[in-house]
Amino acid sequence: MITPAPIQSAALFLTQNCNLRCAYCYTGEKKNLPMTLETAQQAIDFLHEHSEKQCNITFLGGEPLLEFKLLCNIARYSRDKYGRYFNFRLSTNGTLLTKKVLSFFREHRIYFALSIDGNRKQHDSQRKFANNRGSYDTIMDNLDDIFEFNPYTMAVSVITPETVNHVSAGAKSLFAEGFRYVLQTLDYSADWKKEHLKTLKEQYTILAEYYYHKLMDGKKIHYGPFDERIRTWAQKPYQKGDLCDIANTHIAVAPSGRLYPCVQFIGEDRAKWKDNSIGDVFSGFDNDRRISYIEDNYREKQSCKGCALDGRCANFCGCVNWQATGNVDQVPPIICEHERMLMPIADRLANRLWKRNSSLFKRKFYQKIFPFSSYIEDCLLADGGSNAAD
Amino acid sequence: MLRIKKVKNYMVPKYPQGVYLKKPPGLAGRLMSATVLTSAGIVALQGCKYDQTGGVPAVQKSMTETDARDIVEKVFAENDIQMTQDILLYFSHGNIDSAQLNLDGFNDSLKIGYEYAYDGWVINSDEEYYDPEEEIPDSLAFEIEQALGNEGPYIKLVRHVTEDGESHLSSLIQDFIDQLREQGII
Repeated sequence: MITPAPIQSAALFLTQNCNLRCAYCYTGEKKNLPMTLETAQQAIDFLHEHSEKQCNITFLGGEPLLEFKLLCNIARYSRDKYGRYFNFRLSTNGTLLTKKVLSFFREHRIYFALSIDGNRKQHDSQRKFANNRGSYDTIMDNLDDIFEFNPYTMAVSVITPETVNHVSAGAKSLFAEGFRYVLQTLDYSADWKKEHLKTLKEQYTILAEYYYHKLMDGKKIHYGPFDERIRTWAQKPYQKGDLCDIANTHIAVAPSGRLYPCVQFIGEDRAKWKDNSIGDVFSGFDNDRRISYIEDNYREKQSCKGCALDGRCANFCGCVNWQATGNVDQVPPIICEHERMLMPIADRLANRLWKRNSSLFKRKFYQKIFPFSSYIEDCLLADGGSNAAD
Repeated sequence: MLRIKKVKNYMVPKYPQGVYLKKPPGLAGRLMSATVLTSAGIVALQGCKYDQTGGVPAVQKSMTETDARDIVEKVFAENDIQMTQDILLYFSHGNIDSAQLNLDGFNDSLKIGYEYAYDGWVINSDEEYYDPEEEIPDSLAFEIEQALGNEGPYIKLVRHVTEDGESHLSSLIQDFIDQLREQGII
């Protein structure tokens, strides 16, 4: 039987509420039932007790900045009681970022990833306010302040069957706006068809050409779908628990204080979802349920046994598997089809960059200290103009 | 209809897997003579083509990371500074998880830490070799130490040392501590 490891990271789900109504949202009804400060403090104490040395906390929702006051109180409580034991981050839709918010983030070193789906057309078709107005322009209004706070802010986009033909234009648009890190991920729970994947292949091929020229020109752009796959070859393949260690070193805390294997499992955090819970911050873990999830996640995927891409593909993600199939250890066909299509595009791109002796490619994928040294280069050594994507 | 299909053979990647510079023949355990490797030293050694029989001048075995860390920790301890080992320090560099430096040692209350970094010399359990892509130029090493120092944390980048470099390494760390004392940081 598996013995659970100390927690290394947790998602604190501050609220179900959100000011957007994204087409692909998995969190259900937007109830205004935020986590109470008492529950949040109990969660911090609980995570401190069940971790060692350090713990990373990501504020999620809903839109976590709807509970900015609560977020501030949690950060202060944690700093006062535990020093810098916890590292805080959040994922936000970017519509509520103000100078006051950014100032607090700066003071407490809280970094965030921004959910933005590419260009205006792509974004506004999926990410709308409750009154049906698109949210793209509101984010753009804040962009200068966002980059002033952190020029490396990552853009996170969701690709759906409806937006698949905008993928390359969307990513290029984000790079052109000044993002250096763009992560595009599929909505795996959507109804994907062969023709969607054919379109997506064309889109990735266009982006591979774009990426190639940028790196050859020494522009530091980072595109998740390619980078993650190249890294699994150039460095090392995924090991169990590397990126998805649900219920074990990673857990999620719902507004009620219930514990879940990962944020995807919280849903509406009420009776019908309660079956996914692995305990709560007041009475502790339900160890049998926790271990059951860990074992499911660690179990060898029978459908992938012997596949040459195993260890490089995204079949490891228990929460994505669960979201798409209802089972942590059952890989959905969309993952397999997507990986078989994307992997050769990423690898051929890497082949070209290697063959053409791209110095940036080599540093990026073979130099352990690259993220850190690159940060120093960009902030202190560069003339300020050589790192922009365009 | 989408389906799961195992890939039997996959031969697409032609770029290297893992470390891409192969171990130079005959080099293992026989590296440079300088106590602290400098860029000039690297150039000089490169000129020797790493040929064991071709006269690599008076090379000395390099210190293992474990030994170097023991020495560094000892100096910190002698100054009543306790280090917690292997602490992740986060920087905002886009990818929410990749912008981090796994520090070899860090004292949270004083915000002092150190990192044993290689100046191009990759030392695995069974091999050592020079990889120019691992090299940290002096200017960058200086900036790394200074960059975070303004408001802390204060990071000492400990660079590659030879097997007999204990006293040099000790004074390097002691100088760092003394400097922080002079500045009123500790």
